[in-house]
Order: sequence, then C-alpha cells, then structure tokens
Amino acid sequence: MDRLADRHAVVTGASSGIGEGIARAFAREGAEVTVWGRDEERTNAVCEAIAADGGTARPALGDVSDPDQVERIVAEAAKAMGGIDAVVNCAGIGELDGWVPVHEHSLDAWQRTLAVNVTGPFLISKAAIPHMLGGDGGAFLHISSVCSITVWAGDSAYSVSKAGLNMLSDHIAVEYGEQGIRSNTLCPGEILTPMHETAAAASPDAREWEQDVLSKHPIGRFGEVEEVAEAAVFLCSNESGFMTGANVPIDGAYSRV
Amino acid sequence: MEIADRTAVVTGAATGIGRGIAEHFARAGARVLLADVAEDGATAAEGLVAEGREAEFVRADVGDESDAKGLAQGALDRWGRLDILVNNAAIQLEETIEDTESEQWDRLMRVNLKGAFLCSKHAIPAMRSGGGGSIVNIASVNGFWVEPGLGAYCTAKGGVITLTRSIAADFGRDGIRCNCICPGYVDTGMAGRYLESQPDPERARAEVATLHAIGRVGQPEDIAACAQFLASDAAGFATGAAFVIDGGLSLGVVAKPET
Repeated sequence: MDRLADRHAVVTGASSGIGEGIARAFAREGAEVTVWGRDEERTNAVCEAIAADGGTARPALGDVSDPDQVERIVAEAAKAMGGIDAVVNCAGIGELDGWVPVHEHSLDAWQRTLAVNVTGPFLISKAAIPHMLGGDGGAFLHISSVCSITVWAGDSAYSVSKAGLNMLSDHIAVEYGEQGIRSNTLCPGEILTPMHETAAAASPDAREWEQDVLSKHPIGRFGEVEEVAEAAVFLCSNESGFMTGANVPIDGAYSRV
Repeated sequence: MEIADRTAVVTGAATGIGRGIAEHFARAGARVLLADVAEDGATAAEGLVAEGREAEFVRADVGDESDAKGLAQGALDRWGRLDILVNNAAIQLEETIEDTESEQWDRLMRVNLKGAFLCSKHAIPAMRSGGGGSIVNIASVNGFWVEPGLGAYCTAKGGVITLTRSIAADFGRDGIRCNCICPGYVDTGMAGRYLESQPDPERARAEVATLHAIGRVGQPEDIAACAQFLASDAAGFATGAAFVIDGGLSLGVVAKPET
C-alpha cells in the first residue's frame, strides 16, 4: 500500500467516475492528491472519503480549459503539496451533440470537446512540467480512450480529441525523457461510470446500445473503475520506470476485434 | 498486483528476461515452473528454492508439441492448476530476408511463434478448467517497429502480437486474458550478442541508449514488473493489449529539442 509513497499527484476530473477511482487509489497507495473537479460538493466529498480512509487529499475547483484557472490551480497545488510529480489528466467530456455523424456535429460541441479533452491536458502539462524539471522528474498519465485508436461511430469530436491527447503524451515522453519525466496514456474500453449512463441515455434505445457495446468486448463484460485505477497506479509508480510514450488499452480487447 | 499462490509456467527462463520474470514471480509468492532448452535453467530454479521459493526446472523445447503439452500438464500434476503462462522463449537472427536461409527461417519461427502457439494451445484448456488464467507473451517493439537486418525476427514478433489478439478475442469469455509486452532494448545476453554483431560494438552500445527517449536501456526487472501486473487480477479488464515498454524507443525520436 505504498507504491506511490511520498508522491504529490494532481488528478483532474476527479469528482466522479474514473478520475475519482484514480484519486482514491493513489491516496490508498500513499500519494498526496489534489482532487480537481468542477462540482464543489462532489469534489469535497471525494476528499472527505479519502481522508476517512486515512489518505491525504485537497480539493481544487476549476475548468481545465481555462488558462488562467489552470495556471493558478497548478501553482497552488505545487505550493500546498510541496511539489508535483504525478499528473493524471482525466477530465473529459463527450456526446455533447449525442450520437451524430460528422456533418451534423455542431461547431460549438466540437470546439468545447477539444478545449476540455486536449487543450486542457496541454495547459496542465505546460504548467506542471516546470515543477518536475530539476527535481526527480515525474509521471504523466492521460486518460484517453479506445476511441483514439479505433472508430466508435457517432462522436468524432471525442475520438479526434483523444487521438490528439495520445500525441501530446508522446511529445512529452520524447521531449522530457532524459529529464526523468515519463508520459503514457490509458485507453479504457467501456467502463461502468456516470459517463456510461450518459452515453446510454443519449442513444435511441439504451438497452440495445448496451447489448451492442457489450458484444464488442471479447471479455464479455464492461470494465470496473477500479481496474482502470489499478493500471493508473502501475503507470505512475516506479514499477513502470522504463515505460514511456505507450498507449495502454484497458478494454477487454474491444480495440482488437 | 497480487500473484501469491498462483501457478506459473515461464518459458525461456534460464536467462535474460525470462529468468527475470521467473525470479520476480517466485519472490512474489507464485509457484513457478521454469522451462528452457538450456539446462542452466536448473541453476535458476535451485537458487529460488534455496531462498525458500517454490520453483522447479523442466527442460522443454517449446517448438515440440509434446514438450509444450508437458508444461501445462506439469503445472496440473504438481499444483492442480495453471494460472499464468509467460511465453518468453525466443531466438534472434541477424540477417536480412535476402540472406536468411530457409532452414534459419523455419528454426526461428518454430521457437518464436510456433512455441508460443503450442504452449498457449495446451495451457488454454488447463486454465479454463481452473476458471480462467492469464497468458503474457513477450513480443518486442520489433513486432511493429522494425530495425534493419532482423527480417525473420521482426516478422515473428509481429506474429506474436497478432497471436495475442486472437487468443484474447477467442477466450475472453472463458476468463482467459492474453496480453503481450513489447520491450525495447533490455540488458540481456541476447541484446548484448546483437550489439557485438555490429561493425563497431562499442559505438553501437553507446548509441543504443540514446535512441531511447528515456536515455537508457531497460533491465529485466522493468519487464518483470509489468508481467506481474498483467498476470494479476489488477489487470482484470486488460486483454489483447500490447504493453510497449521501450523507454520511448519506438516513438521515432529523430531530434530532441533542448529542455
């Protein structure tokens, strides 16, 4: 339970779903965690749950796509925790227009999706990297998606944003590898989160959608948040010290068939 | 990452990455059958037993079906179950396709690809009877990112990646997961021999570290930790995946900006 002992982690999108699971797993493994969310009540609740389990967490509220807010929050996190050596970019949005083909996508939805899913991680990385340089380095983990490596028809903005996120990760891996900064992505398949419920609700027949998606996972089930969180711990710990620039599917072989 | 009391077969376990994985697994509390054509695998197993670990050596040629079948059966006979198979046995050939003799091609494919097929084929029913299991194939970055003069090796490793996906697609619903690891250069005898075969080995050795974004080559332990993750329930939703552990080697680092 000390695989991330003495680490100072920033986790975005941490007030629910995969981000919450990662924040809680990191705290359980000994990291101090800045729990970054948009909803004050939920973000505080995650911090309280971590504290109740004996972990250390502090809340941060803000929009990852707003440059001023990002700069302020990252600076405050570094100051409060005494540094930053792990960043998990998990905040993400999708299905703003529901399930639509390219020509029906609205420009607003497209721009908002890219702003949160790619520009946000860029801004956070840009702000956090200086805190890792000159020290012992650090680890970035970007929560991408199977949609970044295989087409899941109906939300091109989401897929394109996640594919861009993969390349941002690769650039960090190459440009800072010798400074001890690693960067990887996780590409989850369908995980049982609030986003799963939203996606189902956005389809014409939720039950049919679930059966269809399930049939595309050769493992025969959807994933659990904890299974993504376990991979996240591995990728931010020294256990994966030689791993950088990798896109890791945690998808029950969804992307392989 | 818990694999205590799990039973594992590791092929190519006498040296290098295979030995690293076998030792790592045994020290994590797993019961390990070390398989190799080289008899010095026995030394590795004896060393683990002397530490109080549960390990045994079996001489096996993975390209021989009765030997491959014997590995799965060996785990069942000893421990009543087979939870983990690591297909690591492999040989390398430093030749272009033009210069590769037909017999050399056959020999390499027999060990690197057919061996993984045969060991998996016979492990699958053993794993299914126990409620599931995890197969970890040691592929290579050369399975999707080639280096000159390694035609047969790269082709076989590409095959290992596809074999991994096929097993994942077919046996997921039996609780059997299958993933592969694609290492970059790892500090082993095989990598050492390859570097020695270069026109200027010393220069090649220095250059190879700089090809990795991270500025160093890997150690067997780097690969073993990931193999443990994949073998454990922590990786319960990971199947069909290729875990690239290459320090950024395959990213295509041409020039790095000053940072």
